[in-house]
Amino acid sequence: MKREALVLDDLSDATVNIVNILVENGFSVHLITRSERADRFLAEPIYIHLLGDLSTLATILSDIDLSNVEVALLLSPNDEINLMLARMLREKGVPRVVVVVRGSEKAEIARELGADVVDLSHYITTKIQRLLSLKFTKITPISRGICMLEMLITGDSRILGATIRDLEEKYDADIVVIREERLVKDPDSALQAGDYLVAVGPITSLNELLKNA
Amino acid sequence: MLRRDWLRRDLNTLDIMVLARNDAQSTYYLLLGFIALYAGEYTFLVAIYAVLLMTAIALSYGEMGSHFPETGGSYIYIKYSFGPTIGYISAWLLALDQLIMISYGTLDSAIYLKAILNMYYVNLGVPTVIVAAILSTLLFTVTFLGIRESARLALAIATLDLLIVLPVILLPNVLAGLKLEPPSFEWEGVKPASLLLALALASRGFTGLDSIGQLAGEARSPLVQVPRATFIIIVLMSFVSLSLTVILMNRVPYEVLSGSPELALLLIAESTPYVGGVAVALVAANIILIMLSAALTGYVAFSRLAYMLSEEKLLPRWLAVVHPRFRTPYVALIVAYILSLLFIAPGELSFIVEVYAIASLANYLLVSMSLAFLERRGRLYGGFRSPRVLGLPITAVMGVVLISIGITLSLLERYHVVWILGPWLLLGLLLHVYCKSRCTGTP
Repeated sequence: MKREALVLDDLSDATVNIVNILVENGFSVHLITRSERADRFLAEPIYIHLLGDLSTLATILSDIDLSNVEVALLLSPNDEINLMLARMLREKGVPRVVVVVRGSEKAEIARELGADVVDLSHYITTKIQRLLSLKFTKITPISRGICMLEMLITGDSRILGATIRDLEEKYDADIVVIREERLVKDPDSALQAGDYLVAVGPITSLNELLKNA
Repeated sequence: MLRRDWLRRDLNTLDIMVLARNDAQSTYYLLLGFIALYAGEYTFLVAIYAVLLMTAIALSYGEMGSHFPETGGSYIYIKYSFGPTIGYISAWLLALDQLIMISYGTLDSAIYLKAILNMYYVNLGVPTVIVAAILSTLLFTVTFLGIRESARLALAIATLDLLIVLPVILLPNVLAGLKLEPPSFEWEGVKPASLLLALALASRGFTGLDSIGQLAGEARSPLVQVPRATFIIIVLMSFVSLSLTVILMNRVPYEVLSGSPELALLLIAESTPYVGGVAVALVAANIILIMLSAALTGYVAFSRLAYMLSEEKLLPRWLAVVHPRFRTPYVALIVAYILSLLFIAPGELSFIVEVYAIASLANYLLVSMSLAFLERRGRLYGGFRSPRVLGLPITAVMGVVLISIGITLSLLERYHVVWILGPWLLLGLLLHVYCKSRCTGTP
């Protein structure tokens, strides 16, 4: 069945990879890009629409039968263009719009438009924390009160030396540790500085663990 | 749920080239004798006109194809510039030629096969239509199994064709010496029986090029492969077609040709120095195979066009069902198979043969016009951009001028059979009206 996707180029290799993945999954892809980048995509089986000034966006959208577009990925480095296009596409009934933004304020605007948000500022922060082994915690909701906690164990952590078994029994969560790119699951392993802890369990338990860590 | 209901991108440039080239070249093989019969000493000039027209059509398809990565060919090109209704009507008319190609390609192969076997005192004892039906069944099976399998068969046939035409026919003739005095060569003073008819036939001499656009949806890199395949087709077909015309006008006396113009290629083979006897058998086998390959491309092109029209909700949605393992539009292929059998059953009907390719020419004209409108309509980028004349692509200008001449010539000569397109068009319009309200949802 015909499935179409619209992608706004981010001027990096990410768009090339994403376009490839979409094509592999049977999408007919409409890429909006700058003329200087167009040749880079000629080997891909996609429609290439050239973006001039902002007024050309409306012309390009009128060229595409948006009723077939299942998903739009707005990856451009310009948050304003991403949000403007997201608004236009949502108004025209595109069911799923994914917007790349930088910062919580823009992310909130995108969410209000009914778009899925990829907040680059969050990813940059996380990556820097990991690279420099800075204290880091993150809780991701999974389903109905069940969450995943990711935490980098630093030298001043209060749970340093505790075993996985101790923590699992005390906090009612399933825990694994990533140590030097190896997965450690042995319940009797004691936590060391530099370990990356992953725990899955009820949000209340994870908050408790976080507070005491 | 993981779905695999789209066509597999498995074709390279060579695959696209052979599938489209075999279809178009086969038409010239069959028409060469008739063009020569009516053009007399001007045959070479008429052949040049045919080659120029073919080049214009191919370049229009090449440039348009370099912008559109999907199957559907002329339908999506024309839809982009003139809207879905004109695109649909144009595609529907083209589909008739594709069906005729499947049916009459297999029928002509069967006729040749039986005639050759008779030459060797072998009587199949089976009616021609049954042989044609068997051949159509074989082609249906290959196209059902996958686009790669179809391309491999087409490549094998194209290789054999070139191996026969170049070393077996062309080389001995060149070595034995040809009178290279165009345009009449050895036919000086042979008066044309009907130059208009010759030009009209030449206008339809390379019908089938449109299939190149249907293959984009299964090409790995259509935006670059389609124009590349187009350039190779132009070079190969121009060389082979003009060479054969020169050899015909050198080796085969006009009086001999006029007795059986449908056997022009066999007459060339028979008169080829050093290899005459062997060449006849090889050329005969080649004609059968190239006709089969044309019918094979007809299967591929018709099924992909029906698939795309169904995806666009212009034909019933079940035509877009793709086989989960072979990734071919098998329901559309089954429909093509059944229709081919219906066309084969009464044997070759001259009024259907006569209308062949007129709709294709109209379609080619619309494609060239669409190309002229391409940049004015939107901002699509393509892998091939021809030079501009007054802001218009030179390929589009060439196409519109030459194809208009071709259509005019064809209509002047075939105006009495054009009505046959009427019932077909009416059926298409009725389906269109029906589908507007009913062809919705998933296949």
